[in-house]
Amino acid sequence: MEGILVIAFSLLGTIAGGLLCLIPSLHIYNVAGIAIILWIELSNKIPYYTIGPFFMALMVSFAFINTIPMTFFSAADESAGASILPTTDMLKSGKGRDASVISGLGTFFGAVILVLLTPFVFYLAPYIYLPVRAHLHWIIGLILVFYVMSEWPKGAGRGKTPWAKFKNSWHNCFAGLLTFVLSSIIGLIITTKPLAPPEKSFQNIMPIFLGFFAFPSIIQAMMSEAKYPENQYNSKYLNCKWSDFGYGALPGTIGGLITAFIPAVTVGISAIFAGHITNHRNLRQASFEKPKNPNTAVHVHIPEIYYQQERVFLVAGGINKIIYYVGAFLFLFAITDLTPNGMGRGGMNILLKPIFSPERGDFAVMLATVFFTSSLSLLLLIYFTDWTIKIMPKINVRLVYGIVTVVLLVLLYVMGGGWMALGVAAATTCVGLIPVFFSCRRSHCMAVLLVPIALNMAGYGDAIARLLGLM
Amino acid sequence: MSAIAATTFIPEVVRMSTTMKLDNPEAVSGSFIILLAGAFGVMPDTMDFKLGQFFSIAENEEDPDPRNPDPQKMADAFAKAVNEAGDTGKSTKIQLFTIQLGASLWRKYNMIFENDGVIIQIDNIVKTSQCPIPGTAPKTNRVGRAKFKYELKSRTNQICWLNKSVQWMRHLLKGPDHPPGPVKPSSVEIFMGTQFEFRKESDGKIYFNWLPWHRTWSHSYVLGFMLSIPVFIISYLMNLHHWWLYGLVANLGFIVHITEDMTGHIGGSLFWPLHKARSEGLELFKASDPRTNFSLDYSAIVIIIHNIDRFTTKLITMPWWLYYILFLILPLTVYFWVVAIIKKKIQEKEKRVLKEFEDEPDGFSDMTLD
Repeated sequence: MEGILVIAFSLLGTIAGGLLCLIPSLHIYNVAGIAIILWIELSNKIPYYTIGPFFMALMVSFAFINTIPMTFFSAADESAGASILPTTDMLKSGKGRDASVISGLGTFFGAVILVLLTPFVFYLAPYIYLPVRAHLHWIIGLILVFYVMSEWPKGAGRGKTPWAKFKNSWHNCFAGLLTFVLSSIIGLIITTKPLAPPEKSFQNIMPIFLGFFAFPSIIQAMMSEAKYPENQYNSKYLNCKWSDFGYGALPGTIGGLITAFIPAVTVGISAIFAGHITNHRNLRQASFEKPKNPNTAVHVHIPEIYYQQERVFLVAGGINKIIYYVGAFLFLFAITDLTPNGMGRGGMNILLKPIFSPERGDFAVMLATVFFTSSLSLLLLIYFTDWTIKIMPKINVRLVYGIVTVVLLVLLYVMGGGWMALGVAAATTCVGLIPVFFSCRRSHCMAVLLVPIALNMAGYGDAIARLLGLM
Repeated sequence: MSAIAATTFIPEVVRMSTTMKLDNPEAVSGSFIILLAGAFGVMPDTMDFKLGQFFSIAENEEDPDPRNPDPQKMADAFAKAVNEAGDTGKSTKIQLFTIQLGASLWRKYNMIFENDGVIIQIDNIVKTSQCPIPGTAPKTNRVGRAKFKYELKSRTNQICWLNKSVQWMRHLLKGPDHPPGPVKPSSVEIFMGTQFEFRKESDGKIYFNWLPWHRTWSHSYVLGFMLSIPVFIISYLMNLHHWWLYGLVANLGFIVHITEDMTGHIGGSLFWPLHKARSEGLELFKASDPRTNFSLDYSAIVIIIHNIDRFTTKLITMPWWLYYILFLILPLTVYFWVVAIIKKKIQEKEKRVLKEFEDEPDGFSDMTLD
C-alpha cells in the first residue's frame, strides 16, 4: 500500500507541478508554499512518507515544464541565463519546438547523471562538503567578485578620447554594478528586518523574486514588439545529435554541482562559471582554406562544433537546471556517518524544514521518484510543447500576462505579507528592470541573497546591519 | 583559480578564513582574506579590458557601415596605417570596429595577410554566441585588397634584455623557435573589435603588434606590489590579526596571474614602469586551448580542497601523494586521453566535410540535421 501511495503522490505532484508551471512567471517555490499550507491543514489525513515524493515530483516537473514559458513566453526566472538566449533565437527562426524538447532532453539526461552520481554523493561528496562548509562565505564572495569583474564592456568603444570610449563601452558594466549594489542593500535590509510574519517566513523571499525576475520579464514581454513565426517547425525528428549531449554533460554537471552545493548560487551564475571552465569549442578552430567561390579570397571553414554550441548550451542548461532544483533537494537524503543531516541545499529544503526531515534509506526511494517523474515529465513536456505551439497563435500573450500579473499580485498580498510585500515587489521590480533595459547580466539581482548569506556566514551580518542603521 | 589555490598553501590564511574555530580561538569571524587573491588575480585583465584599452587611441579607425560594408575601403585604411608607419618611422595604430546588425547579430569579417598586402573579406552573419548563420554572406562586394609598401612580420627583432631572458628560457624549455611565418589571419566578430599597432624596425620591415594595449603596464610585478601597498596599510590601520598577510595575499594573486600569462604567446611588461617593453611569452600553451584552461581550473579545485582540509577539518586521511595521484593525475590523464580521441575524430570529420563540400560555395554547410 505504501508503495502505491508513493507512486500516486508522485503522479499527483508531477501533474500538479506540470500544469501550474505552465503559467508564465509562477515559480515552483510559490506553488510549493501553497502546497505546504494545504499539507499542514491536511496533515492528519495524508501519510507522512508521501511528503518527500510529492514535493520531489513537483520539483522535477518544474525543472522540465518551466522550459515552456521560458521558451515561448520569455518568462525568465533566476535560471534563465542558462538557456533563454538560444531558445529565443531558435523560437525566432521557427525552431521553438526543438528548443523546448532539446532542453527537456537535457533535463532528462541530467536526471540520468543524478543517478550516476550516487556513488560520488555517498563516498566522495562528504569529504568536499564538510571542509568546504566552513569556507562558504569566501567561496560565495569569490563567486561574486568573479561575477562582477567578469562582466566585460559590451559597447564598441567608439570615441576620440579615453573618456568618450569609456562612456560608449561601459553602460552594461555600470548597470551591472548598480544592480548588484542595490540588490545587495535590499538583501541586507530584508534579512535584517523580515517582511512576512514568522508563521509565513518561508514566503519571505517571494516578493523579492517576483520583483527581480518575474515582473521585469512580464513588463519586457508586454512591451516587446517581437513577432515570432506562428508556424513553428514540426517534425518527428529533432535537430540535435548524440554528441550535443556528450559536450553538454561536463558544463551541465559542473554547473549543477556548483548550484547544488553552494547556497544561493543559481543556474544563471553557475552556467557562466561552468562555461568558462569547460568550453571546448576551440578544440577545432575556424580555418582559412582555399577559396571555393570566385568572389572570395578564402573559404572560412567553420567546424561543426561551432554550429552545435546553441544545442550544447540548451542541453547543459537542462542538466544544470535539474541538478540545481532537484539535485539540491535530493542530496538532503544523502545521509552518511559524516553527514547525518544530509547535504541538501536550496529553497525546497528551507520550505520543508518545519514539516519534514529525511531518514536513512530515503535516498533510494527519492532517486526512483526522480527517475519515474522525469520520464513522465519529459512526455508531458513534449505534449505541452506541441499544445503550446498550436494555441500560441490564437492567444493574446499580453492578456495572459495581464491575468498572470493579477494572480501574482493577489498571491503576493495574501501569502507574501500584504501591502509591505507589494511595496517590496515594486522596489525590486525597479531594480530588476535595470538589466532588462541596459543589457547587463540579470543574475546580478541574486546579490540579494548572496551578499547577506556570505556576510552572515562569515559572522559580519550583525555588524553590517548596525552600520546601515538596521539594528 | 590558480591564485586562490596558491594562497591556500599558506596555513594561516586558510585558518583565518574558516568559520569553524578549530585552533584559532581568538578569531571572531571568518576572514574574507582569500577574496583579495581572487580580486587581485583578475585585476590585470580587468584593468586592460575595462580601462587600459580606452587609453590606446588609434590614429586610424575603420568603422564599417552595417548596411553596406565596403571591404575595399577597409583594406585601403589598413594599408594606409601600415604605410604611414613605414614612411614616418613612427608607430601607428588602427582600430577596426565590429559590425553590429541587431541585438544579437553581427557581420563577421576577416583579414588575411600577405607579406606585402591585406585582404579583407566580408563573411557570414554570426550571433553573439559566435554561432554563424549559414548562407548570410553577401553575394557581391565581399573582398577588398590593398598592397603595402613594406613587408609585414609577426616577430620583432628589437629585443631588450627582458625579451632575451624570456627567449633563453623558451629555447631551454621548447628548443629553438620555428622560423617566423606570415602574419596569421584574423577575424572581427562581436562586441569591441580589435586594434593593431605597426612599427618599422631596423630591417625595414613592419612589426605587426596585435592588441598593443594588452598585457602591458597592467601585467607588471612592480605594479602588483604597488597596488598591494594600500592593502598592507589599510589592514595595519584596521589592526587586523596578521595584518601583513592581507597585502601578501593580494600581491600573490597578482603575481600568479602574470606568471601564468607568461606561459602563453603574449608575455607582459613585467617590470613596468621601470622597464616598459612588453616581452614575448614562453609559448608553452595557447590561451585559446580549452585543455589548458580546464586542466588548470580542475587542478586548482583539487589543490584548494586538499589544503582547506589539511589545515582545518583533517578528514582526508590518505597521504598527500596518493590524494594527488587519485584525484589529480588519474582524472587528468583520463581527461587528456578522452579529449585526444574526440579531437582526432573532429579533425577527421572536418577533413571529410571539407573534401565533400569542396565544390560548394561558402556558407553551404549548415551543420544542423534535417
